[in-house]
Amino acid sequence: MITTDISAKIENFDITKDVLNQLPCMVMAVDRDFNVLFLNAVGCKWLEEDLENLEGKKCYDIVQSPHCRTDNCRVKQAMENDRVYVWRNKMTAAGKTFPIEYTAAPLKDKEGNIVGGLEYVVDISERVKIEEEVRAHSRTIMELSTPVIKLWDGIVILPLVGVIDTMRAQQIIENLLFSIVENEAAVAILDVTGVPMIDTSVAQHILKTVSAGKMLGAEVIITGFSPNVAQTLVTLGVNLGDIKTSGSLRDGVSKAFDIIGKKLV
Amino acid sequence: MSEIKDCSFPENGLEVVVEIKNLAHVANAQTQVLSIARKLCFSEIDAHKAATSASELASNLVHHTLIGGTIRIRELRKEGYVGIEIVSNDSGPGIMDVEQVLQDGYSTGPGLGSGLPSIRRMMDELEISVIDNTNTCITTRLWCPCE
Repeated sequence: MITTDISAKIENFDITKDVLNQLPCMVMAVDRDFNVLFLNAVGCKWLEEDLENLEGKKCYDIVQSPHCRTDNCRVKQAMENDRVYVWRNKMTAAGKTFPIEYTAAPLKDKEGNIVGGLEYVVDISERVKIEEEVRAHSRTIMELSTPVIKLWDGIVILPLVGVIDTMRAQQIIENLLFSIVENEAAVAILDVTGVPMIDTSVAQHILKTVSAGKMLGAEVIITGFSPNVAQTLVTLGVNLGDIKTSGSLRDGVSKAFDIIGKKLV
Repeated sequence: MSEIKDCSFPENGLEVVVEIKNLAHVANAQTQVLSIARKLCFSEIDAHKAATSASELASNLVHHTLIGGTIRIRELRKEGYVGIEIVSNDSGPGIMDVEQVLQDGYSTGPGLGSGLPSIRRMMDELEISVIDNTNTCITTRLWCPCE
């Protein structure tokens, strides 16, 4: 058997105990009434408990989490449904609260009867921190990427940069429409110079923006289609016939001044 | 497809699988195709056609399937040509009438109904296979001459 082999190779090493104890996560086993049967060394360290003192203690006496003593407790569910659960939670132990991911499984005797539950708990503070950073970044990008600029009395301009997905397109429409109202704009310029690609759903959003703009009494001019985008749009069969477009932003601005009855000199 | 370029290939072909579950994943499919097409020395306009096709397939996965699906992008080679293959795969509910979805303006969702027809116009090959309405596979390829 593999266990005896390794134990023989390494002196003073008990595979079942030492591996479990040195595993860098908390491992705990309880009986059906949540009396602690076992807690590995890392668990003892987290909870600042000694294994000997745990005799007769319930798991919810030494660990506090929102799931404890409720039907949400995955260990309870694991025992009841004979299933393995993986769940995120937070845990308070020895005065500290941190985010965890815990895996709960039923504990079985040799005959396969469920005699309790076991769980291993991983501290995911680092992971949660990184996820929060990613979320913060995407929020920042969202806000950075849709600035509406007032160019002149009655003219607003929205320069678009980067890949537009439907989510961003939605936000762009909203921002533009709000600023049309806010600035009492007669013309809105949507500059797509920085957009590498336009597919049918983005094209549809552009069409919607134009008609919504018209309803608010503003003319929407699309500027800065790149040759690649223009060629693809033609193949897409999207009809931009009724929409004012200009090759360059400069051209679009001059058209906008025409509309509000001013001239660039 | 007029210019012939000399391309050097990596030994094992490029291949990427992008999981599409929500609209935020659509842009990912676009950028992956764009980067692979550029690596394969496709012209900018061809790279755009391929990426736009991937984008259409990906938004179809978001709007018309039960749980999303995957987009597989893969490099192809045949005598004198290099190609890019985009495969959209999902587990249902399938396509009612394949002929109809290839007609311009037909849509059962929020789109313009020109996604699949325009893929047919932009790409060289388009195959749609629906098995038991639980496995829909749309394969499209674009070829570019290459020494």
